[in-house]
Amino acid sequence: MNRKQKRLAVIAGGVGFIAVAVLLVMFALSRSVSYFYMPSDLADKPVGEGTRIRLGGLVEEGSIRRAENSNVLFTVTDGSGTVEVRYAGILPDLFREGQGVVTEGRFDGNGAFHADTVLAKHDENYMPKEVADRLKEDGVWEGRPARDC
Amino acid sequence: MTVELGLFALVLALAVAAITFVVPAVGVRRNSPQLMTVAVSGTLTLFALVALSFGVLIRSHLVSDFSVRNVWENSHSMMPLVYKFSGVWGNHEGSMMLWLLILTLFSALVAAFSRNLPNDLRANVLSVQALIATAFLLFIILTSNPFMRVFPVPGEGQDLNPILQDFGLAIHPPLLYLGYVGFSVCFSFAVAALISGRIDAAWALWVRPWALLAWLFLTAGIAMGSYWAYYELGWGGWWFWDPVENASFMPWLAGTALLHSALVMEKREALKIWTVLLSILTFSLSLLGTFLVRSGVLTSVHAFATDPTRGIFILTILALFVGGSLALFAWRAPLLRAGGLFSPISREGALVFNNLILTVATGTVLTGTLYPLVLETLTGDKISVGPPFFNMTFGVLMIPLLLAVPFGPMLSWKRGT
Repeated sequence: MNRKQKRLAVIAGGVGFIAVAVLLVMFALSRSVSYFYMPSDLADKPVGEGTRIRLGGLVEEGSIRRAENSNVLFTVTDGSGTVEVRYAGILPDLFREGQGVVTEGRFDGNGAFHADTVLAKHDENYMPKEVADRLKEDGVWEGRPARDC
Repeated sequence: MTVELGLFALVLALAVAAITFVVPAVGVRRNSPQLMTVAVSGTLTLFALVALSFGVLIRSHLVSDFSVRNVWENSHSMMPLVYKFSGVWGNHEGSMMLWLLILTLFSALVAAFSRNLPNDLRANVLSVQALIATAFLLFIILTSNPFMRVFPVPGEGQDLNPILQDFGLAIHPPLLYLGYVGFSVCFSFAVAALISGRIDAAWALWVRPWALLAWLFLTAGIAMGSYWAYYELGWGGWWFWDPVENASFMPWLAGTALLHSALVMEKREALKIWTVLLSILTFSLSLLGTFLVRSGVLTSVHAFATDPTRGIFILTILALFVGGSLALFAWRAPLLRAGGLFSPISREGALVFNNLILTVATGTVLTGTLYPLVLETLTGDKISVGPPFFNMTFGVLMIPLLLAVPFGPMLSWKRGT
Protein backbone atom coordinates (compact mmCIF):
# COMPACT_ATOMS: atom_id res chain seq x y z
CA MET A 1 0.00 0.00 0.00
CA ASN A 2 1.27 3.45 -0.71
CA ARG A 3 1.07 6.36 1.67
CA LYS A 4 -2.26 7.59 0.37
CA GLN A 5 -3.97 4.20 0.62
CA LYS A 6 -2.64 3.65 4.12
CA ARG A 7 -3.89 7.02 5.23
CA LEU A 8 -7.27 6.27 3.68
CA ALA A 9 -7.46 2.91 5.49
CA VAL A 10 -6.63 4.57 8.82
CA ILE A 11 -9.20 7.31 8.26
CA ALA A 12 -11.89 4.80 7.20
CA GLY A 13 -11.18 2.67 10.27
CA GLY A 14 -11.30 5.72 12.52
CA VAL A 15 -14.53 7.04 11.05
CA GLY A 16 -16.13 3.59 11.32
CA PHE A 17 -15.14 3.33 14.97
CA ILE A 18 -16.43 6.82 15.74
CA ALA A 19 -19.73 6.02 13.98
CA VAL A 20 -20.16 2.97 16.20
CA ALA A 21 -19.45 5.11 19.26
CA VAL A 22 -21.97 7.77 18.20
CA LEU A 23 -24.65 5.13 17.65
CA LEU A 24 -23.92 3.64 21.06
CA VAL A 25 -24.14 7.04 22.73
CA MET A 26 -27.47 7.85 21.04
CA PHE A 27 -28.90 4.47 21.91
CA ALA A 28 -27.74 4.73 25.51
CA LEU A 29 -29.06 8.28 25.93
CA SER A 30 -32.49 7.22 24.71
CA ARG A 31 -32.59 4.27 27.10
CA SER A 32 -30.70 4.89 30.27
CA VAL A 33 -31.04 8.43 31.55
CA SER A 34 -33.18 8.92 34.63
CA TYR A 35 -35.33 11.98 35.14
CA PHE A 36 -35.48 13.96 38.34
CA TYR A 37 -38.85 14.24 40.07
CA MET A 38 -40.14 15.87 43.21
CA PRO A 39 -43.22 14.41 44.94
CA SER A 40 -45.63 17.06 43.58
CA ASP A 41 -44.49 16.37 39.97
CA LEU A 42 -45.81 12.84 40.24
CA ALA A 43 -49.42 14.06 40.51
CA ASP A 44 -49.15 15.89 37.14
CA LYS A 45 -47.15 13.35 35.22
CA PRO A 46 -47.28 9.90 36.74
CA VAL A 47 -44.26 7.65 36.29
CA GLY A 48 -44.86 4.18 34.92
CA GLU A 49 -44.20 1.10 36.98
CA GLY A 50 -40.57 0.01 36.74
CA THR A 51 -39.20 3.25 35.24
CA ARG A 52 -36.05 4.29 36.99
CA ILE A 53 -36.19 7.84 38.34
CA ARG A 54 -34.44 10.11 40.79
CA LEU A 55 -36.75 11.32 43.51
CA GLY A 56 -35.75 14.30 45.62
CA GLY A 57 -37.17 16.45 48.38
CA LEU A 58 -37.04 16.88 52.12
CA VAL A 59 -37.21 13.98 54.53
CA GLU A 60 -40.45 14.64 56.43
CA GLU A 61 -40.04 15.19 60.18
CA GLY A 62 -40.94 12.12 62.20
CA SER A 63 -41.43 9.93 59.16
CA ILE A 64 -38.49 7.55 59.50
CA ARG A 65 -39.60 4.07 60.48
CA ARG A 66 -37.42 1.01 60.67
CA ALA A 67 -38.85 -2.36 59.67
CA GLU A 68 -37.33 -5.84 59.91
CA ASN A 69 -34.31 -6.88 57.78
CA SER A 70 -32.77 -3.41 57.98
CA ASN A 71 -35.57 -2.00 55.84
CA VAL A 72 -36.20 1.69 56.30
CA LEU A 73 -39.32 3.64 55.39
CA PHE A 74 -39.43 7.41 55.20
CA THR A 75 -41.48 10.09 53.51
CA VAL A 76 -40.09 12.52 50.98
CA THR A 77 -41.99 15.79 50.76
CA ASP A 78 -41.76 19.07 48.89
CA GLY A 79 -44.50 20.87 50.78
CA SER A 80 -47.32 20.02 48.37
CA GLY A 81 -46.86 16.31 47.78
CA THR A 82 -45.42 13.31 49.57
CA VAL A 83 -44.07 9.93 48.53
CA GLU A 84 -43.25 7.08 50.84
CA VAL A 85 -39.88 5.55 50.10
CA ARG A 86 -38.74 2.05 51.04
CA TYR A 87 -35.05 1.38 51.24
CA ALA A 88 -33.09 -1.66 52.33
CA GLY A 89 -29.61 -0.82 53.47
CA ILE A 90 -27.53 1.54 55.51
CA LEU A 91 -28.38 5.22 55.24
CA PRO A 92 -25.62 7.81 54.76
CA ASP A 93 -24.24 9.45 57.91
CA LEU A 94 -25.77 12.78 57.04
CA PHE A 95 -29.29 11.50 56.37
CA ARG A 96 -31.54 13.51 58.71
CA GLU A 97 -35.20 14.36 59.07
CA GLY A 98 -35.94 17.82 57.72
CA GLN A 99 -32.94 17.76 55.37
CA GLY A 100 -32.77 17.36 51.63
CA VAL A 101 -32.35 13.94 50.08
CA VAL A 102 -32.05 12.38 46.63
CA THR A 103 -33.00 8.74 46.08
CA GLU A 104 -32.93 6.53 43.02
CA GLY A 105 -35.32 3.70 42.38
CA ARG A 106 -38.59 2.51 40.85
CA PHE A 107 -42.31 2.35 41.65
CA ASP A 108 -43.77 -1.13 42.03
CA GLY A 109 -47.27 -2.17 40.92
CA ASN A 110 -48.84 -0.95 44.19
CA GLY A 111 -47.50 2.57 43.90
CA ALA A 112 -44.78 2.12 46.52
CA PHE A 113 -41.38 3.59 45.71
CA HIS A 114 -38.44 1.23 46.19
CA ALA A 115 -35.14 3.09 46.38
CA ASP A 116 -31.94 1.21 45.69
CA THR A 117 -29.69 4.22 46.33
CA VAL A 118 -29.89 7.06 48.83
CA LEU A 119 -27.36 9.77 48.11
CA ALA A 120 -25.68 12.09 50.58
CA LYS A 121 -25.88 14.62 47.83
CA HIS A 122 -25.59 18.05 49.24
CA ASP A 123 -23.64 21.24 49.59
CA GLU A 124 -22.64 23.02 52.77
CA ASN A 125 -26.32 23.81 53.47
CA TYR A 126 -27.05 20.05 53.53
CA MET A 127 -29.29 20.54 50.52
CA PRO A 128 -28.92 18.80 47.13
CA LYS A 129 -28.78 21.31 44.29
CA GLU A 130 -31.84 20.06 42.36
CA VAL A 131 -33.89 20.02 45.55
CA ALA A 132 -32.65 23.45 46.62
CA ASP A 133 -33.46 25.00 43.23
CA ARG A 134 -37.01 23.69 43.27
CA LEU A 135 -37.75 24.43 46.91
CA LYS A 136 -36.61 28.00 46.34
CA GLU A 137 -38.82 28.30 43.25
CA ASP A 138 -41.82 27.03 45.20
CA GLY A 139 -40.98 29.25 48.17
CA VAL A 140 -40.82 26.33 50.61
CA TRP A 141 -37.24 26.96 51.66
CA GLU A 142 -35.11 30.08 51.39
CA GLY A 143 -31.68 28.62 51.90
CA ARG A 144 -29.27 29.73 54.52
CA PRO A 145 -29.38 33.52 54.76
CA ALA A 146 -26.71 35.02 52.53
CA ARG A 147 -23.57 35.81 54.42
CA ASP A 148 -22.83 39.49 54.64
CA CYS A 149 -19.57 40.48 53.08
CA MET B 1 -0.47 41.68 59.76
CA THR B 2 0.82 38.24 58.72
CA VAL B 3 -2.43 37.65 56.88
CA GLU B 4 -1.98 40.84 54.86
CA LEU B 5 1.50 39.57 54.00
CA GLY B 6 -0.19 36.58 52.32
CA LEU B 7 -2.39 38.81 50.19
CA PHE B 8 0.54 41.10 49.42
CA ALA B 9 2.61 38.12 48.24
CA LEU B 10 -0.29 37.08 46.03
CA VAL B 11 -0.57 40.50 44.39
CA LEU B 12 3.19 40.62 43.92
CA ALA B 13 2.99 37.13 42.39
CA LEU B 14 0.48 38.47 39.87
CA ALA B 15 2.92 41.17 38.78
CA VAL B 16 5.79 38.67 38.56
CA ALA B 17 3.62 36.24 36.58
CA ALA B 18 2.68 38.96 34.10
CA ILE B 19 6.35 39.90 33.66
CA THR B 20 7.37 36.24 33.31
CA PHE B 21 4.75 35.87 30.60
CA VAL B 22 5.65 39.00 28.59
CA VAL B 23 9.42 39.46 28.85
CA PRO B 24 10.61 35.99 27.69
CA ALA B 25 8.09 36.03 24.83
CA VAL B 26 9.50 39.37 23.67
CA GLY B 27 12.99 37.95 24.20
CA VAL B 28 12.28 35.05 21.84
CA ARG B 29 10.95 37.46 19.23
CA ARG B 30 14.00 39.74 19.44
CA ASN B 31 16.37 36.78 19.90
CA SER B 32 17.74 38.32 23.08
CA PRO B 33 19.24 35.81 25.57
CA GLN B 34 19.09 38.34 28.41
CA LEU B 35 15.33 38.75 28.09
CA MET B 36 14.84 35.00 27.73
CA THR B 37 16.65 34.22 31.00
CA VAL B 38 14.03 36.31 32.83
CA ALA B 39 11.80 33.25 32.37
CA VAL B 40 13.85 31.20 34.84
CA SER B 41 14.28 33.78 37.60
CA GLY B 42 10.69 34.97 37.14
CA THR B 43 9.30 31.44 37.43
CA LEU B 44 11.31 30.66 40.56
CA THR B 45 10.27 33.98 42.18
CA LEU B 46 6.66 33.30 41.27
CA PHE B 47 6.76 29.93 42.98
CA ALA B 48 8.41 31.42 46.09
CA LEU B 49 5.73 34.12 46.36
CA VAL B 50 2.81 31.72 45.89
CA ALA B 51 4.37 29.29 48.39
CA LEU B 52 4.75 32.15 50.90
CA SER B 53 1.11 33.12 50.40
CA PHE B 54 -0.03 29.51 50.77
CA GLY B 55 2.12 29.16 53.89
CA VAL B 56 0.41 32.20 55.42
CA LEU B 57 -3.00 30.64 54.69
CA ILE B 58 -1.91 27.36 56.31
CA ARG B 59 -0.66 29.26 59.35
CA SER B 60 -4.00 31.08 59.73
CA HIS B 61 -5.77 27.73 59.71
CA LEU B 62 -3.36 26.04 62.10
CA VAL B 63 -3.54 28.84 64.72
CA SER B 64 -7.33 29.19 64.14
CA ASP B 65 -7.21 32.87 63.30
CA PHE B 66 -10.97 33.46 63.01
CA SER B 67 -10.49 37.04 61.88
CA VAL B 68 -9.88 35.47 58.47
CA ARG B 69 -13.26 34.69 56.89
CA ASN B 70 -11.96 31.56 55.19
CA VAL B 71 -10.76 30.11 58.52
CA TRP B 72 -13.92 31.15 60.36
CA GLU B 73 -16.14 29.48 57.77
CA ASN B 74 -14.23 26.25 57.47
CA SER B 75 -12.43 25.55 60.71
CA HIS B 76 -12.93 25.09 64.43
CA SER B 77 -10.47 25.57 67.27
CA MET B 78 -11.13 22.08 68.66
CA MET B 79 -10.50 20.27 65.38
CA PRO B 80 -7.57 17.82 65.28
CA LEU B 81 -4.46 19.34 63.74
CA VAL B 82 -4.59 17.16 60.62
CA TYR B 83 -8.09 18.43 59.74
CA LYS B 84 -7.11 22.03 60.44
CA PHE B 85 -4.33 21.46 57.92
CA SER B 86 -6.31 19.60 55.27
CA GLY B 87 -9.23 22.00 55.79
CA VAL B 88 -7.05 24.61 54.07
CA TRP B 89 -8.11 23.13 50.72
CA GLY B 90 -11.49 21.79 51.88
CA ASN B 91 -13.15 24.96 50.56
CA HIS B 92 -13.27 26.89 47.32
CA GLU B 93 -10.63 29.57 48.00
CA GLY B 94 -8.11 27.20 49.53
CA SER B 95 -8.65 24.66 46.80
CA MET B 96 -7.83 27.25 44.13
CA MET B 97 -4.73 28.27 46.11
CA LEU B 98 -3.60 24.64 46.09
CA TRP B 99 -4.23 24.53 42.32
CA LEU B 100 -2.08 27.63 41.85
CA LEU B 101 0.65 26.38 44.19
CA ILE B 102 0.97 23.14 42.23
CA LEU B 103 0.93 24.99 38.90
CA THR B 104 3.81 27.24 39.99
CA LEU B 105 5.60 24.25 41.52
CA PHE B 106 5.55 22.51 38.14
CA SER B 107 6.74 25.70 36.42
CA ALA B 108 9.61 25.93 38.91
CA LEU B 109 10.51 22.27 38.32
CA VAL B 110 10.58 22.89 34.57
CA ALA B 111 12.79 25.94 35.12
CA ALA B 112 15.16 23.94 37.32
CA PHE B 113 15.39 20.81 35.17
CA SER B 114 15.47 22.23 31.67
CA ARG B 115 19.05 23.39 31.29
CA ASN B 116 19.58 21.15 28.27
CA LEU B 117 16.58 22.63 26.45
CA PRO B 118 17.09 25.10 23.60
CA ASN B 119 16.90 28.60 25.04
CA ASP B 120 13.90 29.76 23.02
CA LEU B 121 11.83 26.63 23.73
CA ARG B 122 12.53 26.96 27.44
CA ALA B 123 11.57 30.65 27.43
CA ASN B 124 8.35 29.96 25.52
CA VAL B 125 7.33 27.07 27.79
CA LEU B 126 7.87 29.09 30.96
CA SER B 127 6.11 32.07 29.40
CA VAL B 128 3.00 29.99 28.68
CA GLN B 129 3.10 28.54 32.21
CA ALA B 130 3.26 32.10 33.56
CA LEU B 131 0.24 33.05 31.45
CA ILE B 132 -1.80 30.25 33.02
CA ALA B 133 -0.62 31.40 36.46
CA THR B 134 -1.59 35.00 35.63
CA ALA B 135 -5.14 33.94 34.73
CA PHE B 136 -5.61 31.94 37.91
CA LEU B 137 -3.99 34.60 40.11
CA LEU B 138 -6.46 37.12 38.69
CA PHE B 139 -9.27 34.67 39.40
CA ILE B 140 -8.19 34.17 43.01
CA ILE B 141 -7.51 37.84 43.76
CA LEU B 142 -10.69 39.14 42.11
CA THR B 143 -13.24 36.48 43.04
CA SER B 144 -11.86 34.08 45.63
CA ASN B 145 -9.59 35.97 47.99
CA PRO B 146 -8.80 33.59 50.84
CA PHE B 147 -7.43 36.40 53.03
CA MET B 148 -10.71 38.32 53.44
CA ARG B 149 -11.09 39.55 57.02
CA VAL B 150 -14.21 39.47 59.13
CA PHE B 151 -15.07 42.01 61.82
CA PRO B 152 -15.98 41.78 64.65
CA VAL B 153 -13.78 38.71 65.07
CA PRO B 154 -15.92 35.65 65.87
CA GLY B 155 -14.95 33.64 68.93
CA GLU B 156 -15.34 30.26 67.27
CA GLY B 157 -15.30 28.88 63.73
CA GLN B 158 -18.23 27.34 61.87
CA ASP B 159 -16.45 24.02 61.54
CA LEU B 160 -15.41 22.02 58.51
CA ASN B 161 -18.14 20.00 56.77
CA PRO B 162 -18.10 16.77 58.83
CA ILE B 163 -18.02 14.60 55.71
CA LEU B 164 -14.68 16.20 54.80
CA GLN B 165 -13.14 15.52 58.19
CA ASP B 166 -11.37 12.51 56.87
CA PHE B 167 -7.79 11.64 56.13
CA GLY B 168 -8.84 11.31 52.49
CA LEU B 169 -9.04 15.10 52.25
CA ALA B 170 -5.40 15.38 53.31
CA ILE B 171 -4.09 13.33 50.39
CA HIS B 172 -6.73 13.03 47.66
CA PRO B 173 -6.91 16.67 46.42
CA PRO B 174 -3.13 17.28 46.39
CA LEU B 175 -2.52 14.05 44.44
CA LEU B 176 -5.32 14.83 42.01
CA TYR B 177 -4.07 18.36 41.42
CA LEU B 178 -0.47 17.19 40.98
CA GLY B 179 -1.97 15.02 38.27
CA TYR B 180 -4.15 17.32 36.31
CA VAL B 181 -2.26 20.52 36.81
CA GLY B 182 0.88 18.58 35.88
CA PHE B 183 -0.48 18.24 32.36
CA SER B 184 -0.12 22.02 32.06
CA VAL B 185 3.57 21.37 31.34
CA CYS B 186 2.67 19.24 28.29
CA PHE B 187 0.26 21.97 27.21
CA SER B 188 2.95 24.66 27.49
CA PHE B 189 5.43 22.52 25.56
CA ALA B 190 2.83 22.02 22.82
CA VAL B 191 2.04 25.73 22.59
CA ALA B 192 5.76 26.56 22.60
CA ALA B 193 6.33 24.11 19.74
CA LEU B 194 3.48 25.66 17.78
CA ILE B 195 4.84 29.17 18.34
CA SER B 196 8.29 28.21 17.09
CA GLY B 197 6.88 26.02 14.30
CA ARG B 198 9.60 23.44 14.93
CA ILE B 199 9.15 20.03 16.47
CA ASP B 200 11.17 16.83 16.45
CA ALA B 201 11.65 13.58 18.35
CA ALA B 202 13.61 15.40 21.08
CA TRP B 203 10.46 17.35 21.93
CA ALA B 204 8.71 14.08 22.81
CA LEU B 205 11.76 13.03 24.81
CA TRP B 206 11.40 16.17 26.97
CA VAL B 207 7.63 16.01 27.30
CA ARG B 208 7.21 12.32 28.08
CA PRO B 209 8.67 12.38 31.62
CA TRP B 210 6.32 15.25 32.56
CA ALA B 211 3.34 13.46 31.09
CA LEU B 212 4.34 10.30 32.94
CA LEU B 213 4.77 12.17 36.24
CA ALA B 214 1.38 13.88 35.91
CA TRP B 215 -0.24 10.62 34.86
CA LEU B 216 1.17 8.76 37.88
CA PHE B 217 -0.14 11.38 40.30
CA LEU B 218 -3.51 11.52 38.58
CA THR B 219 -3.81 7.74 38.72
CA ALA B 220 -2.93 7.73 42.43
CA GLY B 221 -5.33 10.64 43.06
CA ILE B 222 -8.25 8.94 41.32
CA ALA B 223 -7.52 5.65 43.08
CA MET B 224 -7.39 7.43 46.45
CA GLY B 225 -10.64 9.28 45.72
CA SER B 226 -12.24 6.04 44.68
CA TYR B 227 -11.20 4.39 47.95
CA TRP B 228 -12.53 7.35 49.94
CA ALA B 229 -15.87 7.31 48.09
CA TYR B 230 -16.05 3.57 48.73
CA TYR B 231 -16.01 3.84 52.51
CA GLU B 232 -18.00 7.08 52.68
CA LEU B 233 -21.67 6.09 52.71
CA GLY B 234 -23.80 7.96 50.20
CA TRP B 235 -21.01 8.75 47.75
CA GLY B 236 -22.11 6.02 45.41
CA GLY B 237 -19.36 3.46 45.99
CA TRP B 238 -15.92 3.24 44.47
CA TRP B 239 -16.97 4.46 41.03
CA PHE B 240 -20.30 6.07 40.31
CA TRP B 241 -19.78 7.94 37.00
CA ASP B 242 -20.56 11.09 38.92
CA PRO B 243 -19.72 14.32 37.01
CA VAL B 244 -16.93 15.14 39.43
CA GLU B 245 -15.42 11.69 39.01
CA ASN B 246 -15.68 12.05 35.23
CA ALA B 247 -14.00 15.45 35.45
CA SER B 248 -10.83 13.78 36.70
CA PHE B 249 -11.23 10.69 34.52
CA MET B 250 -11.33 12.54 31.18
CA PRO B 251 -7.82 14.07 31.54
CA TRP B 252 -6.67 10.63 32.66
CA LEU B 253 -7.96 8.98 29.49
CA ALA B 254 -6.53 11.70 27.24
CA GLY B 255 -3.28 11.65 29.25
CA THR B 256 -3.00 7.89 28.77
CA ALA B 257 -3.39 8.38 25.02
CA LEU B 258 -0.78 11.16 25.15
CA LEU B 259 1.76 8.90 26.90
CA HIS B 260 1.42 6.39 24.09
CA SER B 261 1.50 8.79 21.17
CA ALA B 262 4.52 10.62 22.65
CA LEU B 263 6.27 7.25 22.66
CA VAL B 264 5.64 6.81 18.94
CA MET B 265 6.91 10.31 18.32
CA GLU B 266 10.05 9.80 20.39
CA LYS B 267 10.98 6.48 18.77
CA ARG B 268 9.75 6.98 15.23
CA GLU B 269 9.12 10.70 14.67
CA ALA B 270 5.57 9.91 13.63
CA LEU B 271 2.25 11.27 15.00
CA LYS B 272 3.81 14.66 15.74
CA ILE B 273 0.79 16.83 15.05
CA TRP B 274 -1.49 14.40 16.82
CA THR B 275 0.73 14.40 19.93
CA VAL B 276 0.70 18.19 20.04
CA LEU B 277 -3.09 18.19 19.75
CA LEU B 278 -3.42 15.59 22.52
CA SER B 279 -1.21 17.67 24.82
CA ILE B 280 -3.55 20.61 24.30
CA LEU B 281 -6.68 18.50 24.73
CA THR B 282 -5.48 16.81 27.90
CA PHE B 283 -4.89 20.07 29.73
CA SER B 284 -8.08 21.54 28.25
CA LEU B 285 -9.96 18.66 29.87
CA SER B 286 -8.18 19.47 33.15
CA LEU B 287 -9.40 23.05 32.85
CA LEU B 288 -12.88 21.81 31.97
CA GLY B 289 -12.77 19.62 35.07
CA THR B 290 -11.78 22.60 37.20
CA PHE B 291 -14.69 24.54 35.73
CA LEU B 292 -17.23 21.75 36.28
CA VAL B 293 -16.14 21.15 39.87
CA ARG B 294 -15.64 24.76 40.92
CA SER B 295 -18.64 26.39 39.26
CA GLY B 296 -21.26 23.98 40.55
CA VAL B 297 -23.09 23.84 37.20
CA LEU B 298 -23.32 20.09 37.51
CA THR B 299 -24.82 18.31 40.47
CA SER B 300 -22.54 15.87 42.14
CA VAL B 301 -22.84 13.58 45.12
CA HIS B 302 -19.54 14.80 46.47
CA ALA B 303 -19.40 17.68 48.89
CA PHE B 304 -18.10 20.86 47.31
CA ALA B 305 -18.48 24.46 48.24
CA THR B 306 -19.57 26.13 45.04
CA ASP B 307 -20.57 29.56 43.88
CA PRO B 308 -22.09 29.93 40.39
CA THR B 309 -20.95 33.55 39.93
CA ARG B 310 -17.34 32.40 39.90
CA GLY B 311 -18.23 29.92 37.18
CA ILE B 312 -18.35 32.68 34.57
CA PHE B 313 -14.77 33.69 35.34
CA ILE B 314 -13.42 30.14 35.04
CA LEU B 315 -15.51 29.63 31.91
CA THR B 316 -13.80 32.69 30.41
CA ILE B 317 -10.37 31.32 31.34
CA LEU B 318 -11.38 27.97 29.85
CA ALA B 319 -12.63 29.55 26.62
CA LEU B 320 -9.53 31.72 26.22
CA PHE B 321 -7.03 28.92 26.78
CA VAL B 322 -8.84 26.17 24.87
CA GLY B 323 -9.95 28.50 22.06
CA GLY B 324 -6.60 30.25 21.88
CA SER B 325 -4.51 27.09 21.82
CA LEU B 326 -6.76 25.36 19.29
CA ALA B 327 -6.71 28.44 17.05
CA LEU B 328 -2.92 28.48 17.30
CA PHE B 329 -2.95 24.77 16.45
CA ALA B 330 -5.13 25.29 13.39
CA TRP B 331 -2.86 28.11 12.22
CA ARG B 332 0.57 26.62 12.93
CA ALA B 333 0.18 22.83 12.82
CA PRO B 334 0.43 22.66 9.00
CA LEU B 335 3.98 24.03 9.38
CA LEU B 336 5.07 20.94 11.29
CA ARG B 337 6.41 18.34 8.89
CA ALA B 338 4.68 14.97 8.73
CA GLY B 339 6.64 12.11 10.24
CA GLY B 340 7.77 8.60 9.37
CA LEU B 341 5.84 5.87 7.60
CA PHE B 342 4.68 2.64 9.17
CA SER B 343 2.50 -0.27 8.19
CA PRO B 344 -0.93 -0.62 9.86
CA ILE B 345 0.10 -3.84 11.60
CA SER B 346 3.07 -2.68 13.62
CA ARG B 347 3.81 -1.25 17.07
CA GLU B 348 2.93 2.21 15.76
CA GLY B 349 -0.27 0.92 14.19
CA ALA B 350 -1.29 -0.67 17.49
CA LEU B 351 -0.57 2.57 19.34
CA VAL B 352 -2.70 4.50 16.85
CA PHE B 353 -5.49 1.99 17.56
CA ASN B 354 -4.99 2.56 21.29
CA ASN B 355 -5.18 6.33 20.78
CA LEU B 356 -8.31 6.06 18.65
CA ILE B 357 -10.14 4.03 21.29
CA LEU B 358 -9.00 6.18 24.21
CA THR B 359 -9.97 9.47 22.57
CA VAL B 360 -13.35 8.18 21.38
CA ALA B 361 -13.97 6.82 24.88
CA THR B 362 -13.05 10.25 26.30
CA GLY B 363 -15.62 11.70 23.89
CA THR B 364 -18.38 9.43 25.21
CA VAL B 365 -17.55 10.31 28.83
CA LEU B 366 -17.59 13.99 27.86
CA THR B 367 -20.99 13.58 26.18
CA GLY B 368 -22.47 11.78 29.17
CA THR B 369 -21.10 14.40 31.54
CA LEU B 370 -22.27 17.47 29.64
CA TYR B 371 -25.57 16.12 28.26
CA PRO B 372 -27.61 16.83 31.44
CA LEU B 373 -26.24 20.39 31.45
CA VAL B 374 -27.14 20.98 27.79
CA LEU B 375 -30.60 19.43 28.19
CA GLU B 376 -31.37 21.47 31.30
CA THR B 377 -30.33 24.67 29.54
CA LEU B 378 -32.44 23.88 26.47
CA THR B 379 -35.57 22.28 27.94
CA GLY B 380 -35.36 22.73 31.72
CA ASP B 381 -35.63 18.95 32.27
CA LYS B 382 -33.41 17.69 35.03
CA ILE B 383 -31.96 14.31 34.26
CA SER B 384 -29.07 12.26 35.46
CA VAL B 385 -26.86 10.20 33.24
CA GLY B 386 -25.61 7.39 35.41
CA PRO B 387 -23.82 4.06 35.32
CA PRO B 388 -26.20 2.39 32.79
CA PHE B 389 -25.23 4.95 30.12
CA PHE B 390 -21.50 4.60 30.71
CA ASN B 391 -21.64 0.80 30.90
CA MET B 392 -23.42 0.75 27.57
CA THR B 393 -21.01 3.12 25.81
CA PHE B 394 -17.66 3.32 27.57
CA GLY B 395 -17.84 -0.30 28.68
CA VAL B 396 -18.48 -1.55 25.15
CA LEU B 397 -15.73 0.63 23.63
CA MET B 398 -13.17 -0.73 26.07
CA ILE B 399 -13.67 -4.33 24.88
CA PRO B 400 -11.52 -4.02 21.71
CA LEU B 401 -8.86 -2.21 23.74
CA LEU B 402 -8.70 -4.97 26.32
CA LEU B 403 -8.54 -7.58 23.55
CA ALA B 404 -5.68 -5.74 21.84
CA VAL B 405 -3.64 -4.90 24.94
CA PRO B 406 -1.90 -8.30 25.29
CA PHE B 407 -0.72 -8.28 21.66
CA GLY B 408 0.34 -4.64 21.18
CA PRO B 409 3.71 -4.90 22.96
CA MET B 410 4.60 -8.05 20.96
CA LEU B 411 4.51 -6.19 17.65
CA SER B 412 7.74 -4.76 16.34
CA TRP B 413 8.27 -1.17 15.28
CA LYS B 414 7.67 -0.12 11.70
CA ARG B 415 6.31 -3.46 10.45
CA GLY B 416 5.10 -6.45 12.41
CA THR B 417 5.10 -9.87 10.82
